Amino acid sequence: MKNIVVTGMGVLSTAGFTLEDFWQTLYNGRITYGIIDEFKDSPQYRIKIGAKIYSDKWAQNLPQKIIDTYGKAACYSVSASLKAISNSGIDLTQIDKTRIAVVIGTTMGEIEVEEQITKLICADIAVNDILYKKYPTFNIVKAIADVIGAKGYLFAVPAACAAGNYAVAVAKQLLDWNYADVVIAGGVDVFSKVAFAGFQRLLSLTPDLCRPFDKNRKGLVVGEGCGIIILEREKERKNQNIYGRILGIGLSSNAYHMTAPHFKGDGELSVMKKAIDNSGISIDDIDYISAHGTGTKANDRIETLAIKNLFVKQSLPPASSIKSMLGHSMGAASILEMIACLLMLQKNIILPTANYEAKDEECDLDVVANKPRKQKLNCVISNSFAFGGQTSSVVIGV
Amino acid sequence: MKKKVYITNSIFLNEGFNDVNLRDKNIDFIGKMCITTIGKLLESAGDIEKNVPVFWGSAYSCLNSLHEFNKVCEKSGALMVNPSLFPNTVLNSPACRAGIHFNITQPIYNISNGSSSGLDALGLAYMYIANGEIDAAIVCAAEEESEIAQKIEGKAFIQSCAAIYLSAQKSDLEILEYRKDYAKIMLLNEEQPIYGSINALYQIDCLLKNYMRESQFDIECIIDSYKTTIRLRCYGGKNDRNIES
Repeated sequence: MKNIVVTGMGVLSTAGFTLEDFWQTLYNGRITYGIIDEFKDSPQYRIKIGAKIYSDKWAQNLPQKIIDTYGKAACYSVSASLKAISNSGIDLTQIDKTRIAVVIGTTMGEIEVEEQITKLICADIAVNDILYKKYPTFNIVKAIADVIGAKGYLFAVPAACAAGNYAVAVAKQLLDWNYADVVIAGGVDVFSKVAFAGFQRLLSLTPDLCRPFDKNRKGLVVGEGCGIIILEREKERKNQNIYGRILGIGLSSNAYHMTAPHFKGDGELSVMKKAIDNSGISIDDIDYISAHGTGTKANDRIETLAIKNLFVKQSLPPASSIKSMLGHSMGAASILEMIACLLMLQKNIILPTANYEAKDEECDLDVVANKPRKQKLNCVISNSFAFGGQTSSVVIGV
Repeated sequence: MKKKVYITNSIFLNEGFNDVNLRDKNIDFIGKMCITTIGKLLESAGDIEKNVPVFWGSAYSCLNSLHEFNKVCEKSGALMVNPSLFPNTVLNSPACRAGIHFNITQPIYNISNGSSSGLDALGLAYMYIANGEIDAAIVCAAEEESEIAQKIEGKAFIQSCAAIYLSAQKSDLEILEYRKDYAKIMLLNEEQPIYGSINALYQIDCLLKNYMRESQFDIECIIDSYKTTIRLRCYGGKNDRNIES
């Protein structure tokens, strides 16, 4: 079976709209979240911090028809897909469009459209049909397919915060089984008031900084964004620009709780084992862990437990969480972290966990704290765990 | 060499979803729909492996729960939302509720492909078995009726849920093919205004229960110019009933 390779990437994030800006922001440990304007003076929001994209420059590469027809999640996805296709160097006129598939993950789909609809309904204002038509989740993949001309298999795959990894898992299978030659895969979520309100009431939000694995961590930061990668079989197209290889993926369900991680980290451990087994590598080969690392008390403690139960006989590889800088971009988180891993593999530099000050004995990993670390990287693992107990790990190699 | 894939059991329900007695009172209606239907499927299937991957299709998923949650936020303020209901707002919630209820530790694949969600969930499960990745799967599709879903859809539909057990074990109904291309729509039965994402699984339930003359069928769904097709072969064995085809 041929290797499945990543040949193009596109980002749309609070850390930047280009791969270069995205890398530089994270490399320099810059925080991309702050006080949300609309929450600043509202007593209903005791927490004010979020990661929201305010600039509209992200839409510069979009046809006006797309902006008029679709919601923001679809528009984010089209914008990042166009960048990823351009980055891959694929000449769309030379590709059989029936062999281009699109697989996109999300947590809440077109939640901003739903929020607009609800606002109007609650104010007794009539809702325009055009707004209603922007809601369906399938619009996200359909919009990409329309713009790219993709006529192959299309899947919108909601899987909450593991959605990007689930999308890549399905994409890899479509290529392995020869149902497609090119797959546009990724994850997206837009900033959501519903998500913010829900996490606020679950007491999961930090009032200031996201500090994954730190003793004084106080919670996560709600964010947004989109990441898209182009996947192909290796050596099937001339001049492939190979960023890395998807070596193995582990997916599982905790069968435990909708929001809490399994108390022993069983699901979290099982997906890391599955991903490594499927890769055909050994545990010793893992050079770095891109942690789910949300910055909540429960996640970071359980993820540490699962990692330590995996590396029982081996020394722990370094770990970090870029959520410390990006916040938690929900359905985009796992794919943005995968893109960060691919860039780390290219540059042999590990991106840091920002805001790390005090070691927690229950999170005693080798945390790459505050500054990037130079290290030869051949093989890394990226974790993402989600509401509903959906757990996922992906092993990525050079 | 691809494995042959068979539909061994199916169930279609459009009522009785509130009869299920659940310890967790925060499970929403569409979560109950999935738990009830998958529960009946597993009961009727007898001695089968129950801890198998789930492929779940829905166009609107938990939209109604999300909308009700958001209305509280909008009318009463963000501090007034019930945190116990927050998990019901994520689109993978209904299938994961069922997964937790039935102690399923295998992956759950949620497909939100509009009116072809059920057909695509079935097709993806077919691919996973045919290519030897898994041995069996539960395929489920559900749509909850709600004012907001009907407004988005532009028409009313009957809320319903269907589930199918798929495996490499021989039965009277085999899936031959799953493909995407372009053509006109053909449905076996349009008597009930069931939402499109359930319709494919409903047609299969009809086939399994009523129409098992040896024959070949295509079940298709079109969204804009995207056509999804599942090709089935019936091996016969049951009384046939007159179904439009």
